[in-house]
Amino acid sequence: MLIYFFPLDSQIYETKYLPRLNSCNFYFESSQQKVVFLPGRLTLRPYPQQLSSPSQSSCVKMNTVLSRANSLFAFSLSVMAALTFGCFITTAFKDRRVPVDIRVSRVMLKNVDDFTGPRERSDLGFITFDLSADLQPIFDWNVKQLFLYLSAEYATKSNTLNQVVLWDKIVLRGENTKLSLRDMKSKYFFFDDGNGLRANKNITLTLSWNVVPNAGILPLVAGSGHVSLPFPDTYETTKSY
Amino acid sequence: MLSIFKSIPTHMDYKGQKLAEQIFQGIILISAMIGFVYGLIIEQFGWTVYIVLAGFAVSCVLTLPPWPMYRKNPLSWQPVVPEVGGESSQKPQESLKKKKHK
Repeated sequence: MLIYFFPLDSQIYETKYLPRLNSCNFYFESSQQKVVFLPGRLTLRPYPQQLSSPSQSSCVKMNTVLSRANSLFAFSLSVMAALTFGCFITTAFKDRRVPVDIRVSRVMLKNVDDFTGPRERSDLGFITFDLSADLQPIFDWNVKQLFLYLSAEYATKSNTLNQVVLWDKIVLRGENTKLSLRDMKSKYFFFDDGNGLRANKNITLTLSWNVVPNAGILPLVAGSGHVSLPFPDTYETTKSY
Repeated sequence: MLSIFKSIPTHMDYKGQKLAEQIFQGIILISAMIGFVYGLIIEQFGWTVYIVLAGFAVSCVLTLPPWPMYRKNPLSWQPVVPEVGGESSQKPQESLKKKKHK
């Protein structure tokens, strides 16, 4: 149980500014009245004559440097959280699409052993591409980095939608945002899970990106501008010597 | 060792506590507003954080130590009255006993 006492004739303070008395055989005294404040009720009692005044340092215990530091730190953290939310809300409805220019300079198709599946031979495509885009408009104060990836989409007989990631890149804040790449080879193998690549007339390459923010959602954006290309009808044969 | 720390005065009076709280809230809120606008303009959220941290440091210096400005309204204490009767001095002992039980 906590008992709060405060002098009536000097000031009535807000309860939160009252000291919390831990070992309370002391009274805050005024000339006429003593007010005992118990949690939940306020009692007025006649002023006792015999009590001596305590020393302040022994009586006032709770408002110390540590308690002030605690409330200061908590308030700063709350303000920081509000600012972070503000940072999110200022950029939440922004359009992060950017025109992308993809050109495919060379397409090659092979039929090779696929050791990952039951099939003996699967289609393996090789694409050499040029890529240019200006990513500067995407960056603002809520973007830490972009994760770009180039994916190929196509339909086969067995699956209406196949997506293969061919290449990716991380663009950090402060790095060069003008993307101008010539004759890039794909980073990852363009393996089909069957023979769906041969004579496939519509294979679409799209550059998409994840926007990694300081705060908020992690949007996945597809760049406007994609290229569709046909794949050759015949396999390139590997020469073995 | 601990008594050395306890002998350092850290106490503020009630008005001082209120003033200290208002001062640190004001400083942090103002630095937060400045930091938000500045960060929005230069598009660096890190600077917003730095400015708020600077406000935090300033308000720590201003409100953590019990500067004289927070001790201007000390409570007026009753002078020590020599103890006469036994009746009213029982009350504080009662409350002491209650506390010990809990």
